[in-house]
Amino acid sequence: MKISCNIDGTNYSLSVNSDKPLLQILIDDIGIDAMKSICRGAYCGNCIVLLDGQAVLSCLVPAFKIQGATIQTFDSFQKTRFFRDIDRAYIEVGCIPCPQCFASKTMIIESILQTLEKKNAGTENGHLRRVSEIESARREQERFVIQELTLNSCTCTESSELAKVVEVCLNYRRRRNVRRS
Amino acid sequence: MYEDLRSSTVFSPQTMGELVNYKLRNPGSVFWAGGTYIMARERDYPSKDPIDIISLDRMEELKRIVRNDTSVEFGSMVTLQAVSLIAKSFFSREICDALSCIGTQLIRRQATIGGALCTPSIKTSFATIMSTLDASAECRTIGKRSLLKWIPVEKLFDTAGALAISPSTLITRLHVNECRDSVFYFKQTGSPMTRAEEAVVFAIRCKIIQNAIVETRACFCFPLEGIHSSALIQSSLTGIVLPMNPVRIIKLTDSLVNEIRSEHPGIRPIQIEQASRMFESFLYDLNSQIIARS
Repeated sequence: MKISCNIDGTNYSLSVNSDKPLLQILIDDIGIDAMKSICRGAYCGNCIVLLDGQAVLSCLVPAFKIQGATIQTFDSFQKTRFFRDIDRAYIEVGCIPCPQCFASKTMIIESILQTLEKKNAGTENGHLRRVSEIESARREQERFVIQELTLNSCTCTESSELAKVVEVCLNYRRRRNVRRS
Repeated sequence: MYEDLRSSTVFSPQTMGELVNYKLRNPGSVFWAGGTYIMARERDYPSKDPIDIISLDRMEELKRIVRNDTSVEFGSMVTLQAVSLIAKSFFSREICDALSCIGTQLIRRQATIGGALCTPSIKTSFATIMSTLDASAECRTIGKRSLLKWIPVEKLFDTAGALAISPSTLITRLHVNECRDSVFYFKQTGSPMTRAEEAVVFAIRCKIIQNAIVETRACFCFPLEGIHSSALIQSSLTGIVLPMNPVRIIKLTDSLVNEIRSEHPGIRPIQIEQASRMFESFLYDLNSQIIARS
């Protein structure tokens, strides 16, 4: 099957089996060594890429679904300012994942940030909120972050610390958006 | 490395007519919804015997959500993430929380209703929640004469837990009644997808009228064994006035354990223990809520 897609800013035209997992395309056909996955679809969470801007497990995406798609792996994501936000937040909180899961956890955090930014954009409509409402929203956010982070089974960092990383990172992005507007 | 392998043929129909025509010409082809289950388990790439795939991704009619006064109908290609996002408008908060507990957002974005109901070897939390809510699925059997049937979700699986619908049957819609005023309790230990042999899912829905339990619907899901809808518990709980005596709770739990043991002999002792603890915990929760209210 002929597939054309954009991977890390480069256009590729690939001839691959239609049900070949994206993960294997990235490793075998494109030669991205940074992709680490040993589970073969058992949800280890180490093969996350951004497919058209949305985080997906690349081992679960067949080749026929990437026709015309834009794929961003951690290799190119770490050159963006979005990565720098997360990296700064890691340092500020003092919680840095181990080299095995660094890429995966960073991509999961990026996916969480995208969701929370969208959610906040929908709710921040100028209403003053009560302290209890803010508290419950914060608790709900923390629960959501912790649940999302269960996708990666590496135990090198605590989920509550990574929740703080998300919060710090959200603040960075919020401040940047305020400066811009 | 894989040059000599034949590639699977992928057909992406846009209408039901195209799908039916293709399926009749290629009866061996399989339906491909989100792919989270198939990519993870069924196949091992590179497979020596490639199957023809009917990708349902472009079928807009399977992505519709239709809301009536008292019920809602989801197309089978609606993702679980979409369901959990819009559930607020027709389900209670507890049910919304339960729906957003299924996997993580990354998985829910890819997994679809049809896929979650049709996984052949495991039973998912989504199917358990929908059984508790008395949902039914519209099944279209594709053949020379197409048959349309509404089947309750729990009847999609036989008593041994195997999928009761044929491979040529496609789930097209899921019908769920609105549910806001019921008590809903959901607990899950382990993941049905990754640790199916240990996981247990428990969902129960009931109404409390003047401190008495009515209209109970309880489902236990043992992913490899099936969904156990406990008739004994449903009938025993109905009419009980809260708060319950702890001795009665123990008796009810014992009868539940006996029922599960006799109906599903393959279930591990750890799963039975977890199921009984979940059930006990639900009853104590109800007790504490009623005592706090009074």
